[in-house]
Formats: sequence, C-alpha cells, structure tokens
Amino acid sequence: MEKKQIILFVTESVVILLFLLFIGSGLVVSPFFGGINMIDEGQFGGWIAHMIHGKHLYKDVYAAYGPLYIYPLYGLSKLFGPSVFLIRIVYIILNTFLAVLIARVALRTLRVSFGLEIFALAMLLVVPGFGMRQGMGLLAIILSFYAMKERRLVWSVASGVAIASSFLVSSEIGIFTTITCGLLFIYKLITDEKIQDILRKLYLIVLSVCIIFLLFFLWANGEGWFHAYLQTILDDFQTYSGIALPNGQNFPNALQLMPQSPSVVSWVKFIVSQKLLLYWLFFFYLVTFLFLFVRLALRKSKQTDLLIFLIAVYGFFLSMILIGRYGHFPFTLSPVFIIFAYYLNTLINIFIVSKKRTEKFFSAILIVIICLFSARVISIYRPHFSKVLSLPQAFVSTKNSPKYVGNVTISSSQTKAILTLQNFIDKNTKLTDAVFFFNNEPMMYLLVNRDNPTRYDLPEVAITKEKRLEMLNDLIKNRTRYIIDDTQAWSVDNVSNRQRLPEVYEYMQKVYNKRRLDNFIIYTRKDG
Amino acid sequence: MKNVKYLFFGLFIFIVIASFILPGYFLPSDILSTLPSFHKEQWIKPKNSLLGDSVFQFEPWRQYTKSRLLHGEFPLWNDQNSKGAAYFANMISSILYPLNIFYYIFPVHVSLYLIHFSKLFFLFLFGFLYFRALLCSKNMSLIGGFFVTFSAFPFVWLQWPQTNVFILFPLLLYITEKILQSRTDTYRWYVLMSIVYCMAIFGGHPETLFHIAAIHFCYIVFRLRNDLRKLLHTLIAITGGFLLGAVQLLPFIEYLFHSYALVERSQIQNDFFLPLKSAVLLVFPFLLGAPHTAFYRPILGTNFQEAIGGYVGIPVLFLGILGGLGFFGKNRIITFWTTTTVILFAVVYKIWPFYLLTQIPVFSVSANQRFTGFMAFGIAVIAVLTLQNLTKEKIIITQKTKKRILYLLAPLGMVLLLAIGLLPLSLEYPSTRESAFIAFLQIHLLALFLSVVTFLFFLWLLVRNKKKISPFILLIPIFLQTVALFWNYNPTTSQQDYYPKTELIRTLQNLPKGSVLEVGNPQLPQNLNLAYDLKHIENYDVLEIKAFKDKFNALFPDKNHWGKVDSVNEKHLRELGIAYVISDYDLRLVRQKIQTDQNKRLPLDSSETKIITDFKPIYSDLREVRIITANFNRENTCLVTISFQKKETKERIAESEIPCTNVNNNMFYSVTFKQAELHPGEEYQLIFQSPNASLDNSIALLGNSMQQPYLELLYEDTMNNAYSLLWSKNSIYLWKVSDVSNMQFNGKANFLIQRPEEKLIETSSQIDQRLHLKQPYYPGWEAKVDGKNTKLLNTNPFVAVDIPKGRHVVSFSYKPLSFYIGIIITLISSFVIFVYFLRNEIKQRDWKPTKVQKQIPWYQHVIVFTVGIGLSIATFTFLVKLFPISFRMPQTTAINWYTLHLYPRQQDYFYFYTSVVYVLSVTLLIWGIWIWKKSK
Repeated sequence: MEKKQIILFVTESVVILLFLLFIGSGLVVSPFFGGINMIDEGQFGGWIAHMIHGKHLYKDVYAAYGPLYIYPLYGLSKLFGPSVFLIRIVYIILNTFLAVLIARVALRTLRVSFGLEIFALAMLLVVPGFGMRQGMGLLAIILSFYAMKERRLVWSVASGVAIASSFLVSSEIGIFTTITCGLLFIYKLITDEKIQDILRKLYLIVLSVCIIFLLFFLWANGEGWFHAYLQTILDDFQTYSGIALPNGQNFPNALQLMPQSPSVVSWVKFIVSQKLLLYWLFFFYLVTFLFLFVRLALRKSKQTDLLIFLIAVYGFFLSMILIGRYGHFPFTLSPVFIIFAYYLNTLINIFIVSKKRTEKFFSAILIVIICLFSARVISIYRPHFSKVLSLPQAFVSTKNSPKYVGNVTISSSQTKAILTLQNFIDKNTKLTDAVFFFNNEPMMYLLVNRDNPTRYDLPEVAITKEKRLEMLNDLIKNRTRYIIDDTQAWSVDNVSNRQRLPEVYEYMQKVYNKRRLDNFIIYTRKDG
Repeated sequence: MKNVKYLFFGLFIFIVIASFILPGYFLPSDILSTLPSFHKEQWIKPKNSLLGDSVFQFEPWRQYTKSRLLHGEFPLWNDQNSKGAAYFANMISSILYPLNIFYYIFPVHVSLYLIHFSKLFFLFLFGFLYFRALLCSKNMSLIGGFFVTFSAFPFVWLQWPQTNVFILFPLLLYITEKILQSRTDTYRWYVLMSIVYCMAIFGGHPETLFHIAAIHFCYIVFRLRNDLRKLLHTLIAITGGFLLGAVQLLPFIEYLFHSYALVERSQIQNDFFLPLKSAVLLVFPFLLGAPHTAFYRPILGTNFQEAIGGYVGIPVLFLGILGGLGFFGKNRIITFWTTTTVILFAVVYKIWPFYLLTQIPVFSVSANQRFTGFMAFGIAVIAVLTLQNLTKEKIIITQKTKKRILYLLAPLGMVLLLAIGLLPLSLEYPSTRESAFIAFLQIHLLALFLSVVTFLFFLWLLVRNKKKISPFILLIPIFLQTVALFWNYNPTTSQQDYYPKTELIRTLQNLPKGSVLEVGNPQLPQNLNLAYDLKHIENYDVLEIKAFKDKFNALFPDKNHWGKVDSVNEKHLRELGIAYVISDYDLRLVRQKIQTDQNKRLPLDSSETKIITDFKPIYSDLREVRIITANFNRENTCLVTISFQKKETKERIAESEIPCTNVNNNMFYSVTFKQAELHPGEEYQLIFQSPNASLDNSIALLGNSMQQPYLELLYEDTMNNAYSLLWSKNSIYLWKVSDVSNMQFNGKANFLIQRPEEKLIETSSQIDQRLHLKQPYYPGWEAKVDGKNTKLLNTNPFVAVDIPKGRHVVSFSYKPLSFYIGIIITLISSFVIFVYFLRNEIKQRDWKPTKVQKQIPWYQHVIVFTVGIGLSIATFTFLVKLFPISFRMPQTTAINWYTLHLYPRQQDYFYFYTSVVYVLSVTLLIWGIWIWKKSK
C-alpha cells in the first residue's frame, strides 16, 4: 500500500467508527438504553465491585475470562467510578473498534470491494456476538499473516504481542489462535524457500510472546494471583471439555429434528430452523476447506487463500464451542461473515463478468445461499436491530436510575427491584458485610456494593461437589448473615440453583430463616 | 515372480478375509483348564501349555485397554491389580502399537487372527525387502522372507510382544541398505528410520528393542563406515525415533526405577543364558518332545520356547554353515552375519570369553538367551546369500569342497542310524508311554533326515539346471522342517474355552468389588482378573510398585513352589485391604507341617503301592490333610484312598478318598476328614494307596527321597472366626475377610468417584483428620482438598492426606509428569520430522497438474463436491443408524443439564469429529477419483 492509500484507509475507518459509535451499535445493547443483563454484563459488574473492595481476581473471585478482558475496565472504574453504563460504553467502544479494524484490514487484504466490507461490518455488529475474545483472535491471525508476508520485522513483534494478548483475553481463544497461527508457521516452514527468514520471524514472535508473558507473570505474581490464574485456566479446560460444564445442552440432533411429514413447508421450516443453522455453519467451513484444497491441489492457490484458510480454521475451532453450548451460536459467527464477504466478492465478479450461462447460474445459486443464511441470522436477532432504532429517544430521555446503574434507561420493574434491594442492604448491613446472591445475578454485588463471601459470583459455576462444598465452607466460615434468592431470576438450561447446589440449599434451609421481600426471598441467619 | 507387490497385497487381503472367516480364537486359553478353579469334568490336555503368558497377561491387558478406550478413557493407571499400578508406563501393555488397533476396532476373535497373522506377514515382507536391498533376485528374496518368517523364533514368540518389535528388525536393515544406496532421497529413509524406531518402542518389549538397537548399531557402523555423513545422519534419525517414542519411553523409564522389575532382574542374572547342551535342539528340535505334541519334558534346564529360538531348519542351517565357511563365495554381508551369529551363539550359550559382554550394564539385566532369534536371522541371511551365489553365479565345486560337504553331511547319517537304532527299543515296550515317545522320536528324526536329503537333491538339481527349475521347490523340504513342525504350536480354542465363567468367577462377580488373594494354588492368577473385571492384590511380577511389593512380601513371607502366598493372617490381610481369599485349604484350621520337601515324584501306579508316613499330631480334631499331587497332562480315572491308623496297634481311625480326575499337576490338594479324633503325642501312620491304579492310569504325590510325601495336617480351631466361607468346591475355598476397607478415616468418608486415575472422596469430621487410602504411592499422584492442592503423604506403600475438620471433598488424581513431558517431546519431534520431510519432499518433486485439470470449470467441482457431501452425509447417517453405539455416562459429581438428563456428552464429540473426518475424506476421495478419471 502507498502512503496515500493508507491515509485514506485510516480516515475511512475512523469515520465509520465514529458513525457507529454515534448511532450506538447493536453489539450488546445500547449504552443508554435497555434492561441490565444480570449474567453477561453482570459478571463484569460483580468482578469490578470485588476488585474495588481489594479482592484479587482468580484468587478471591472465580472468573472464566482473561485478565486483559477485565483489568482495563477495572482501571476505568477506579477512574470514573463503577457503573453499568461504564461497562457498556467501554466494551462497545472496544468491540466496535476491533470490528472495524479487523473487517477492514482483512477484507482489504483479500481485495474485497468497499460495499462488501460494509456488509461484513454490518453483520459483525448487528449479530450480537462479536466481542474482544473473537476480535483478539482474528487480530492475532491477521498480524501473523502479515508477519509472514511482509519483510519488516515489526509485524512479527506485533504478531507475538497479539498472540500473547489473545491468551490473556481468553485462554480458550488463545489456544485456538496459537493452533491456527501454528499451522501458518508450519506451512511457511515447509514451503518457504528462505527458511532462515522464517526462523528469524518465528524467533521474534516467540520472543515477543515470552516478553508479554514475563511482564504478566511479574505483575500477577507480584499481586499474588498468578498461581490461582493458572489453576483457573486448567480448571476451565477440564470443565468445558468434559461433562462437568455449568451451562450447556446436547448438540441438536438433525435426525431427530427432521419433519415426519413430507410437506414442503415443514421441510423448508426445518432447513431454515435456528438449530439447523448450526449444521449450515459447519457446512460452510467444510466447503471452504474443500475449496482451498482444490486450489492447492491444482496449483491455483493465491497468497490470500492462506488468510481465508486461517480465518476458516479459527472459525471452525470457535464453532466447536457449540458442541455443548449451542446457545453461543452468535459468538461463533464473526469469521464466517468475513469469508462470506470474500465469497460474495468472487461470485458477484463471476456473475457479472462471465459469459457462460452455467457459470452465471451456479454463481447466482451460491450468492442466494449466502444471502439467505445471512438474512436468516439477522431475522433471529432482529430485536437487537430494532433497539438501535429507539436510540435517539433513549439518548434524550431523562435518566432516574438507581445507584451504580449510570446513564442507562432501564425498565421500571427492574428499577423498582434494584431500589428495594439496595434499600434493604443499606439498612441492614455495613459496607464490610458480605452478602450472598443465590441466583446467577452477579451484577447485584455491584448494585448493592457488597462483597461475596464465596469465590463464586455465578453460583452455577460451582458445578462439582468440590466447588459446592468450597462454597458451603466459605458461607459457614464467614457466617454470612444474608443470602438472597431472586424468585424471578433466570434458570440456566432450566436447571435452578436449588437443583444445582443441593448442599448449599440444604444449609440455607437449616441455618437460615426466610422471608419475602417483593420478588426476593431473604434468608437471614438464625443465630444472627 | 514379476508382480511381487500384487502377491503381497493379495496375501494381506487373504489374511484379512481369513481372519474374519476362521473359527475359534487364536489364543491358547484352554491352558486355563490346568488351574483347579477352571477344572472341567472331562479334562482335555491343553494344546500348548507353554503359552501361559498370552492367556494370563497379554490378552487380559488387551481387553482392559480396549474396555478403557471404548469408555473414552486413556488407561494410564490400572487399579484392578496390586491396589493400583502404572499401566501405560508398563511398555508391555503396548497400547500405541499400530497392530493392536485391530483389537480396538474389530471383534476379539477376528483381531486375534489379524494381529498375529499380520506380524508374520510383515516379517515376511520386511525380510523380502531386506534381501532385495542386498541385491538378491525376487525369487531368492521371497525364499529369504520365508526362511526368516518360518524359523522357530517368530513362531514360538508369536503371541509375545517380543515379536511386535522383532518383525521390525529386517525393516531397519532394509532402511540402512537404502540409506547406503540412495543419493537424492536419503531424507525419506532417515524419516522412516525414526518412525520404525518409534514403532519398536510402541511394540512394548524394551529388551528386544535393546537387542535390535545393539545389533543394528553394529550393522550401521559396518555398512556406513565409509560415509561418515550418512552414518551421523542415521544416528540422528535413530535418536529422532527415540524422541518420537518419548511419550511411551519416559513413563517407562520412570516406572522402571519404581517397579520391582530391576530388583527382580538383578536377582536372576544367571538365568539369562542357555545351557550349551540345549544347542542340540537347534538341529533336532523335538528331541525332548515339544509342548504342542503329546510328549514334552524340559529336562535340559530350560524350556522349549527359550531353547528352540535359534532353530531355522537343518537345510537352512547347513547352507548357513557352508556359506559362513566361505564354500561358495564370500562377501562383506556374509562376513558380518557370520561374525555376528558366532558371537551371538557364544553369548547365548555362555561361552568364554564372549559371554563377558553380558556383564556390561543393561546387558547384565536383559534376557540374553533371546538373542537366539537374531542368531537364526543371521543364519537365514547367510543361507539366502549362499543360495543366491549357488544359483546365480557359475560356481565350480572342487573335489576338496565336495569332501568337506561330505564331512558336514556325516551327522545326518548318524541321525538315520539313531532313528533305526531306536526301533528295537520301541518294539521292546509296545504299550508304554516311553515306547510311544521313541516311536514319535523315530518319525521325527526320519522326517528330518528325509527332508534334508530331499532338500539336497533339489539343491543339486537347481545348481545343475539353473534356468529350468524353480528355486521355490526348495521350500517344500524347508516347509516340512519348520511350518509342519510348528503347525499347531499356536493353537486356536473354541468360544467356550475363551475365558469361561466358572462358578467361582460368577460368585466373585456377584460380590461387592474387592481385592482377591490366592493362597496355595494359583486359582485366578494375577492379571487374569482383568478378563473378568475383578480385582487382584498381586500384579504381573515385574509390574508391581517396589514399595508395595516389599510390603506384600514382608506381610506374607510364606511362599510356596508356585510363588503364591501359602499362609495368611487376618491382620495382614486387612492391612493391605484384601477383601477375599481363594485358598486350597480351610483357612480357619490350624496347620501342622509334617514334611515339606517336594523334589521327588512318588507314584501310586499300582494297587500294591503304598505310601506310608509316620506322624505325631499336636491337636486332636483333624479336619484336613494337605498334599501336593502330580497329574502330568494325563486323563486319569483312578481313585486314591487316604487312611489313618495307630502306628502300634494298626487300628484304623479314619479314611477318605480322592478321585484322580479332581487333581491337577503340582497342585495342593486338601483331603477332608469328617471324624478323625487323634491323641496329641501318640504315633500315627498315614497311608496313601490306589486300589485301581495302573501305569497308564495313575497319579503321584510329591515328596522327598525318603518316599515321604509333602504333608500338612489341619486341625479344628474354634476361636478363628475372621473369615466367612462364601463358596467351596473340590478343595477350593472362597473366603470373605471381615472389616476390610480401602480407606481409613475416623469420621464419615465415602467415594463419590472411583476411576483408575481419579478417586473423589467426600469426608466429614468434627476434628482435623488424616485420611489413609490404600493406593500405592507413585510419582504423578496428587491430592486436593476442595480443589486446592494439598500434600500427598507417603505412608509406604500407601498414601494419606491431612484434612481439616468439616465437610470436604478430597480428590486423588494421577497426572504423571513423565507422560506429559513425553507427549510434548513426541509432538515437537513429530513436528520437526514432519517439516523436515515435507520441505525435502517439495524440493524433490515438482508436481504440476495436467492441462485438463486446469481447464475444468469451477462449477463442476461444486457439483462433484455437492454429490460427495450429499453421499457422505447419507452414508454416515445410514452407518450411524446401522451401528448405534451406546455411550456410558461418565462419573461426575456435577449437577447440570447433562447429569440431570443422563446425557453422555462425549457422544456429541464422537459424532462431530467422526462425521467431519468422514465427510471430508469421502468427498475428497470422490473428487480425487473424478479428477483422476478426467486427467486420463
């Protein structure tokens, strides 16, 4: 790229970014508008609340996310004070920035038209699944691709830093990224004639990774939570790869979902059903691998194919999360949208340029399939889409939110519930008292500004008996005065925490008196 | 023989088909009938009683591995024997050996044929390749492959892991030759060398691996000495092979230093040789009979299997000697193998000064007698090269040579004389067993003689008419000397003989799980328990963890001639957590040993024969008499009576009897007496006699040279109630030991999860406590309390952890560092080798697609892929419906959607990965065929 092109590219990107931030993106929910998600947003709220109270992540608080995901928010919370609004605005800015950066750089490298760049970007932002985790992985892959392609060694350093950062954002994503980049390095080691150049670049990448980890180690060990972090990572791997995972259900069985009647309508419904989209996703990756294989076998591959391959491999790994947690479907879609933009670019070109009818016909069919899939995905997440339209109204409306909510308009029922609880806690406890929320509503710790007597803000995460007894022992040891059970809380996978935590529930029944406070059941320790 | 590859391909297909068609099990599991607990009403002699290890160990291990793998678990630890021992680290389990994969996929009866036939097939193939690399003709290489494959060593050790490794030896030699010959693609042979060494490690027999490495090292130095670069690269490739096998090798080394293996080995150093006199079996293999025939006695101080390893057939030996002496031309290979064979012979038969080699470390603890297989291989190589010289080159046989050959043929004449000379002996004893053996020997020797003569005749014809006669004619007499002799050495057994469920086994399986100890006779030998999913307190001798074995020996020092514990007390049983005891006598009785020597057979072979022993009882209420019986592979229907009388007055006090059909060879037998009141201090006589015995229908007792049988008297002890009798039949007792627990904890403790590699225990107590778990301390085990690491205490031999008061979950898990470091080394070395290979391959090949392939429009590929994906999905769905797999719910304490719905999550992974691999493979296969057709 020439200097002028780079300036133009950056200017365009900044404009797009500012525009997206102005209208607010549909990534999570609007920063100004919409009920608080007590679980997904809530866990960040809970963690920040505890960290502000002097607790350390991993050591005192169980967190499945990497430190790089949480500490920037913690820093800003120390600066501006913690609130739901801050959580939202920080992640929206970060995610939108990453989405614009990745979509634009990747698709420009793949020589995709500007219109299709916008298509990919729109899909990334409309479907509520693109976050820092997915973004850091893609960024590391793109940088590694450039590190291998470009002569300047600064790319290698950037690649190493990005790979290490992806680990620190999420260990799961770090592994996917490392394997994907590893495949790229192996390919280069095998095929590149200048092996010394590749080895030099690899050395720099590894060195950068090591430096980042060393810095991280010095910091984490200095604060005394490095060991706990490692333990949590290992625990996560075991938990999420085995049967003892907190949330998740079986992968939908297409054979069982198949309609019994031969009616065309039921078959069409089946084919475009939400659960069958999972199969479609894997189908697209399969097709990509076959497509790339043919090009490689017939010696038709271009350098950009390598990037498509890497994105597809990463996407495939990401999609494996769906085995057991198919509800996470939107979180796995980002790579496929980049691949779609590339396919559409190629197919539209063929459709326009080709004079053969058969070629036009086949390209048209493939374009339609991609568009239908994209449209179906958008239709599933249309509520998020429509929320963005209500944004101007929310932006100008008067906010009268409870403490720690910030500049966000939430429903009156949620406001009432939060206020009731805040009043109760303020009246009956001191700031140093710990309160335990029996449901998966970690945001409550931020909203009532109290500590958790256990390590588990999401009690469902205490999945095994070891963890359940650890939680129980902490409750006993801390002589927790109040345990709060929200009767309106959502039960993950329809399994309530009363079922999940029988030892704790039994203890609550035995040692606590219970009384009703609106939608909450307040458990008060019998012996005070 | 132009299209040899088709021959080999056809042969392999034939093996696969035959494996599916052949009836029965290729396993001598009828050996089980020699154990009293597997006793049959109609006893039939086992087809080959020497193949016990394959039945008692290798097959149960394979079963255990398969069962664990099918449950989605990698078997790092075996908790069924000796309270737990490293399993994968025990190389002999050979979990990763490629041929064993057949066992994991196919039904047992198919895979047993397939594994063992494949071993012979690959030995044949690799032998052939080696001879081809030595520039032998195709025909001669095939003959060479035959010599190598059908010599005694591969046959007699076929069921052992030795042959897993041994079959790779000719392949290594072949690769070495290829390295020597190649100019441009040497890298391929280096990579293959590494892979083969890795396979040899996975083969599961470290001793044979060591033997191979030692001889191969000499061969490499000998062959590549003029090209130091290649020599160095080859040594690096071998090192690469060891690094590839690190995943197996590192845990093994760790295990070696913690197990009883080295201790045991260092105690029996003098057993690692063969007596020189047993070398006669290399020429006349059945001179002492053979275990798969009607006659066999291991009277030369070694067993048949060990002594016969060097046998290749007289013609091959003869050719080898001629070639080694340089009768028909010499070359360097012949010189190398002659020297090697001679040295190996000297080492194996402990001939000074060569055997001093075996005093070198590692050699000193390895079974050097098994070098016989390599010796036989060397003879076969020399023989083939000699044959090649005889048939290809113009050899002038001088008068001197003829004379020498005649001298060498002289022993053959002696054989004939011997055969004829034995004839009168057989006539002299027409009905006895000895004369039958002599007749057997005559036939054997005559057959050998005739086949040698035939061979020489064919050889003479071949040398004279090189072009007219096929050299394969030579295989006929060789076949008679090898394949025919060993035809049924590895027998098959019927389905009902494949680990039958006896009454004792069924009883044990219906009881709560607990470790079993055998007292007296072997009834359920260690590791056999794995075939029945039972627990045993002992393990295959060398596999036990040293500290555990030492403790076991200290608690149970009284061992009998079977190496089994002979007496126990309940305190020690509880200390080791032994829940059940199988004994040959009533454990509740008090024992008085009268005479314990057992070095002589005391036959009861006529109605007149009486065996009388004098004794003085120490108690009054006699209940059992314990003796050792000899019933040597015979069907006997006689009856033995045992009676007591007062020595002075000859007054008969009590009498009992044993049907001979009930007794086994060298086993203890306890005869029960219901009313036998004796007076302590008075003299009595015990009389054994058989009213209907004859020479052909008799048993014997084992005793001393004074004609006194091994004798123990067992008296009533009303105080002993530590054991409760669960089952009893024919002098076999099954006891339950009271108050046995695998855990010691002064509070509440119960197992939540019990998997071999993980134990999860929930505890509850009012004070701080120590939890003792009866599981051997071994590197890799770690403990956690409520998920937090805690110190695992070594209570020698078991483990313990300190637990604070309250309610906790304690976990013990096996995460061997050696295994994980091994995996990392294996992965890194695989990666380096992979990159090295592909880089060179890409440099080497400049493949370009044809023009036709380039001209295919893209949408045609789309159509082919659509068809491929559609077809593969349809067939996959069909296969899934046709072969439904039932997945077991993993053990967990988690409460979530899966556990509440009892949904085994691993099935999603299984179907996901298999379907992706299947669809990709089938689609690419279809596409590949399509593109291949197009390019044609």
